[in-house]
Amino acid sequence: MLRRLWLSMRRDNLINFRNHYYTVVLAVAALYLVALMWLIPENATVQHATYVVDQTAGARVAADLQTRDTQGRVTVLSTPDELRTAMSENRNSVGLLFADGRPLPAVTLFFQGHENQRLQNLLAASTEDLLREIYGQPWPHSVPIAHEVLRGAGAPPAVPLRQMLLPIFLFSDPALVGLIFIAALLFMEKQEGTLRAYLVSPGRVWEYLLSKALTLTFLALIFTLILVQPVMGAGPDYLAVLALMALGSIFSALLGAWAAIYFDNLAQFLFPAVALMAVLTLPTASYLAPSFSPVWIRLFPTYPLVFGLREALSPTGRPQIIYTALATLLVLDGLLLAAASLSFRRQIASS
Amino acid sequence: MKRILALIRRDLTATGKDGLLLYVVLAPLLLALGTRLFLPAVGETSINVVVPADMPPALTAELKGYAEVQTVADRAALERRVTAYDDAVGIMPAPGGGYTLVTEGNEAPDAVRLAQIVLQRLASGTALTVLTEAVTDGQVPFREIIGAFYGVSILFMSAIVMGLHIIEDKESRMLLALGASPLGRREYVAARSIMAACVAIALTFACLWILGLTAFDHLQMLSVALTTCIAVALAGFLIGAVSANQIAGLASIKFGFLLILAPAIATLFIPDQLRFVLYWLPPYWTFVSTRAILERTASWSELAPMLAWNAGTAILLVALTYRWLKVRLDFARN
Repeated sequence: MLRRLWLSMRRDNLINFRNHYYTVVLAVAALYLVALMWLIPENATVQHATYVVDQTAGARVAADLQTRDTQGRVTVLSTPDELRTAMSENRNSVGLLFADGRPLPAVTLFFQGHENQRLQNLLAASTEDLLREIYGQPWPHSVPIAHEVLRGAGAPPAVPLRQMLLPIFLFSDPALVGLIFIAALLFMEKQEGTLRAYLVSPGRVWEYLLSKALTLTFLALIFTLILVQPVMGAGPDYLAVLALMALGSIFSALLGAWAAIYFDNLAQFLFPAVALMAVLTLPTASYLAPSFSPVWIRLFPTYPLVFGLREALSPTGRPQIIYTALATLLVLDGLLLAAASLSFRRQIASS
Repeated sequence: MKRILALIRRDLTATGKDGLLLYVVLAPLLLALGTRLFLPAVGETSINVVVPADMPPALTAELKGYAEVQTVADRAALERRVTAYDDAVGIMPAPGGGYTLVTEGNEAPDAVRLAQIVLQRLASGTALTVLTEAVTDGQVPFREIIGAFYGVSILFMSAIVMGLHIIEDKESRMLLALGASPLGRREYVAARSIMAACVAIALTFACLWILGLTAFDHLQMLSVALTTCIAVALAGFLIGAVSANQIAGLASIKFGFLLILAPAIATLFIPDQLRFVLYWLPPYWTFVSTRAILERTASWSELAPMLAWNAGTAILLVALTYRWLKVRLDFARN
């Protein structure tokens, strides 16, 4: 069995090599490396701009806000119309209008219109807290609030943008692209009749599929090493990184193999495959915005993969994240291999 | 013209028979629909809060007015939830009154501070007179950027279909057969390009409308799409020329699409002073002009240079690769 698998892998590897898959992997890795090392800045944040109009006596609020603003996010304007115009031009902004009132100034909060009630209430609460501080009006029924940190103290060190983006580069390219590549190999062999011939040989269908997945995984691992070492140096847990990438690549390849069964040729399969890849990359939204983690997105098989990669690349002493990701992918890979083998055999037998 | 239409009709028949046209049209439309449904959810994220089951229900209900609240069984479950992948702040009632915030230690500072403020406000009530006003139409701020990505992707996706057709022509030796027919090289290029362009332009507009982007200058967008067709046709022929079969074609598509999308992604990160490294890539001009049109910040006088750069760089690349393409495709000697 192992010998058959090995021989299949050698053959598939030769096909990959002759069809320039190695060339493309090296070229893409080089491009990504150039982008990560030299084009992507050290840090870049997307922050809301805040436009303020202060019509209170002495304009204390605006002065205080500007004193606290170390990132240039607060702009003080003269009139509400100026504020509305500024917000219309910058869709990533909110506005605050302060007018005299007792015991605290009256506030008008300006939103773009897409913010839900929770966000509006949060802004109202933080604005009230700020005003109480400026006007020396503590919360009348203040409650003691302690803070317990489970793992260490202090803020985590800031991660350079290129290191933060690396899991996304790894996840979206080598991990997922096998989904389409394996389909191309399968359609070619189906067209040439190789598949039918294989089925009358001693080889098993699962060996046939697994060998293709493993050769694509080998490409993914080469890509990973080219990209990770220069960007991260000696910091990552390389064994974990490679294990996650291997299982992730096998997952996407087997998923592609299974999905390809329902299409007749590569051209038909290509666009639905791209759509499927786009869906599988949705967990990157949670990666980039940690507070966005609805239950349904946590069910994606790629959700533990992207966070597992983050932990493996920048270890924070939480190996359980990696183990969870590995276990999830291992189970899914086994299930997909079984499902794809069964569907494949049925389809070939019926055609 | 008749010969061009005959080739287009043949392609339409072939793609219609195996359902390819359906997939090519449906997949981007469904993706755009999914994006439209998904985007508002991302734009409305607030803080995540975890409370134990013995938290007073009234407080839990009030917290839901400020945060996404999850109730767990006990302290141990709360700690497990707090140490999960995302940012979540645990709130435990303290024995002597008050609360204890439980965090992992890697949450955004705002998350903890906001939780503290909300708890104080709920305990004290609010003394603030607050009015609210919506200034714009309520669409998420990055919708135009996503629309621009769709524009670039769909326009160049037609190059993929074109490239696959050319590879199919090569594999089936139809290219050689066409060389013996009255069909000229220019007619073949026109036939392949026209259908790809029509589908791409129609799909681009459809996807933008589905995303809710309707209030833009359609004539400007059409001009960008038409200008981009030169680069799209070139990309399609390059894919077809370098690839001996569909597997090699896929490798070319992978690399080619990276060159197409990379300029668009790069504009989000690269400082302005380094953008000149992207000027030679037509997709860069497609992206920036599409984005400017969708954000309604482009007048015709501002758009014209971008269109000129787009067409100019595409024509230059065609000129540089023409001889090589002629040899590689090796047909239609008339």
